[in-house]
Amino acid sequence: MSAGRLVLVAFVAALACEATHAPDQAAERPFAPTHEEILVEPRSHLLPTYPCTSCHDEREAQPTRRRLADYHRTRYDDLKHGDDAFWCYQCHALEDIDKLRMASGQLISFDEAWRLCTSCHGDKQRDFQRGIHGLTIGEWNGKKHRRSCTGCHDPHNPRFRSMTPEKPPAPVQSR
Amino acid sequence: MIRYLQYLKSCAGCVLRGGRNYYLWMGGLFVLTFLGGISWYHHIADGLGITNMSNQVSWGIGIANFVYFVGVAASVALLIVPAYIYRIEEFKAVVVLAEIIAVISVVMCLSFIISDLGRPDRLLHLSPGLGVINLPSSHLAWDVMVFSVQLVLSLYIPAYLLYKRYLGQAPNLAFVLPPVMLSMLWAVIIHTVTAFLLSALKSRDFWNTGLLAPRFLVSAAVSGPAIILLCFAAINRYGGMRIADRVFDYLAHVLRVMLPVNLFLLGCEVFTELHSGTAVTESARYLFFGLGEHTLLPKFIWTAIVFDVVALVILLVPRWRQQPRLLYASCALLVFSIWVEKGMGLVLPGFTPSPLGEVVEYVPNASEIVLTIGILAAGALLFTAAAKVTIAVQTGRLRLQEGDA
Amino acid sequence: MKKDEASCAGARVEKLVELRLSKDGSRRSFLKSALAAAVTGTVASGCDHPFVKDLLQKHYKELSDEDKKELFQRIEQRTHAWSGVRVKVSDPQPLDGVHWGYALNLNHCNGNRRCVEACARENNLPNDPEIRYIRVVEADNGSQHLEHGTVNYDREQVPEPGKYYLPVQCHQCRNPPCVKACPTKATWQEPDGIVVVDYDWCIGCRYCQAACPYHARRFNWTVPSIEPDRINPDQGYLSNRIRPVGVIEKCTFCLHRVRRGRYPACFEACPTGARKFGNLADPSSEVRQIIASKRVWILKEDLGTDPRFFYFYA
Repeated sequence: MSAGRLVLVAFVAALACEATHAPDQAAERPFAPTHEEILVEPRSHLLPTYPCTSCHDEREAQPTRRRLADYHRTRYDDLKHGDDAFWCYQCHALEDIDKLRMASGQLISFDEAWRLCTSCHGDKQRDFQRGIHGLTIGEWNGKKHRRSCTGCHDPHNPRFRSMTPEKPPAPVQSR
Repeated sequence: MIRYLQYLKSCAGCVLRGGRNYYLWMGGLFVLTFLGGISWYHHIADGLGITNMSNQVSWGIGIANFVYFVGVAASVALLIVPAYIYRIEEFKAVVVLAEIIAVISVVMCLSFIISDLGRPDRLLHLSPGLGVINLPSSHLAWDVMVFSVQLVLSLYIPAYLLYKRYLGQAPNLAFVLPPVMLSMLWAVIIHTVTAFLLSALKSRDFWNTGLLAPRFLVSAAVSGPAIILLCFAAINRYGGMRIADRVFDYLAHVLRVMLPVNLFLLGCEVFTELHSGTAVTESARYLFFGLGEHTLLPKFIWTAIVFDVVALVILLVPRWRQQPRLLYASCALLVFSIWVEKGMGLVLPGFTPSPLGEVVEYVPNASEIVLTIGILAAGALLFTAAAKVTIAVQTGRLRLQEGDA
Repeated sequence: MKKDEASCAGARVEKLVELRLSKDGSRRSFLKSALAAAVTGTVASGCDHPFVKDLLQKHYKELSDEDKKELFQRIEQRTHAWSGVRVKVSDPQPLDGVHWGYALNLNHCNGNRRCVEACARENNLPNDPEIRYIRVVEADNGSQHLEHGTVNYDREQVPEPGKYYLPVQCHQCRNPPCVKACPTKATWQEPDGIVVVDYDWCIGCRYCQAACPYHARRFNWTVPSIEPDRINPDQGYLSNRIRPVGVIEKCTFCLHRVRRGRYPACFEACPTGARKFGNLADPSSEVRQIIASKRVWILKEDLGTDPRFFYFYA
């Protein structure tokens, strides 16, 4: 994954500022505590039907809630997010289908989906920013990549999927 | 020096000469020891994976036997008390034999421990100077220390007394009394340190009780006299030396007092564990009732308790305990019952369930049983040889002759 | 592709056979050289033999840099001799101002055991007899009675409704009962809090195993058998190098990784994001944030072991 595709998000979490470390110490010790850079992994390039405009350009957007019979049928069947009032344009932007729409009306890229998610899930936002919620890889004290919300959760059906576990421990054998 | 070599030579001669039955007995024991040695070789060459121990039950029959024979070694102090505190002559004659039982028990303990090590080749890591010994925090390190002292003490006392007797000289009390007194204290110490070895482990609720050390001492005062009594009976019968009835009466008396105390302490433990019914008493439930389909241990422990009670009844009824056969039978019952109660019945529940709640039932397999029998046979072999020399010296058959050196 | 795998398996078997043979060979040649040494009376030639070198090897803390270099080379050569794999044994040192801490989110853990297998791969854990550092307890919601849970759950899908999952590995206690127990100081706590074992000093008494309340220590009951294609060549002397028979081993928070800035293998493998790792001495670290803001508890707190492994709900 090239760095250019990463969206650098500098979190200004109040707690993160508590950490004060002399820079000279940090220079001496390569892994000494330093301010961390957290990169939320972009997702748009992973979406199979992206850009949406490749189909939606030719179609009139219909903001009314209805049963979907031709396109996005599985999405419709699977849709389990929020209550019955939820519809595509709660999150997708009617005016630009390649973007997401915040409650404020601001349009944001799919790579920033976490901003939209956390605008409702405020408790998760706090935990996500502190690294408590979510999946992080990289270096414990260096560059960190954080999976975006939609990297683990299907936004249309966000409940974490069940998985097939690895095999159980080998039984103790008598000889 | 030459005189001492002469002495050793005549001792060896004494061991090597005997009747047909003696050779059969010694030969049989030698074969068993040899088989045990082969099993031991496999323990070392193939790793302890040939045993039935596992990461869940990581100590088995070896440690159980170790704990048991620590008790036997310690209980010898019970004979030193009448001999050297009350100065009863009949007892002085058997102190050497008792000390020999102690030293052989210690040797057997060490064999059980060393054969249970994953890396016996690194034993030197435990020795002061050459190794790194974790004092004062490791109870196992303390156990190694007190065992070394015990080994020296119980080797020195009979060796000195016998040699003096061989020379026909009276032992110098200044060389005897301090180590003898120390060995009485040491009996309590080795047994308490061994009990602390287990009771100090907060990870194992079953052992983590203040009652463990008293129970160790009391159960030792049952299994020890029982074994000593049987050994002395065998000497009376086959050894060509008459051990006074008073010694037997004394040992039976000790049993009569200590066996009820032992049962009482066991009962206290059972009551507290089972009545409270907390999660940490699963081990006790495993021991007495089994967990799920794992019910082998309860069979043993209930057998042991029945044996205890039968032996107690025999010992309490004067008419029965005066019959040597019944007395010996009750001793045999006790040797087994304490082995269950304090050996396997103590070590295994400590590991079952495991700290994460896994229940793995351990049963020693053939290789472990052969090794155990081998070490027991080696002990019996050593005892027979040592007792033969001791008796020959004590009865005056083995003496420094006028012409020698 | 299939063919490759088959030939790979064939090569593996061949190598295992070679391993057996070379072991026998080395034993025989040892006897020979020992005999030669005895006959000619030259102690020096005996001292050069690997077996004698093993016997005379010093405790880790008494090893000089020279000793270490030679020792690591010997281990690398030995591994290469039986497996054909070139490994690198290193000894990363603890970092100043760093105390490792682990936190595990029980709301997120779904018992998939990816951590267990990733740990096995990273740490060269054998499959037969199987050694795994991490055990995942499946327990009923509303119960902390571990005896009522199971580590042997075998399900098509996890999580099972009504159950929760409690992975347990070494807790790297600040007051470690295992370190107290060891009679030879073969296990100790490093300045960064990781409890390590000197595999070349351990006598295999397993007292530490009895002393551990978290069932975190494993014993090498036989010569660990590891297929050459599973060997991880990045090996720490005090962590994941291939162990000898008859010694204890345990989780080290992958010290050969974390002391170089990486995350432990179990952390990276977790697909649910339940695992959090970091520097307890750094208030901005994730672990510290969790301790500051979440409902955090430790397993068997009543035992006073003071672990560096925390469970939390978020």
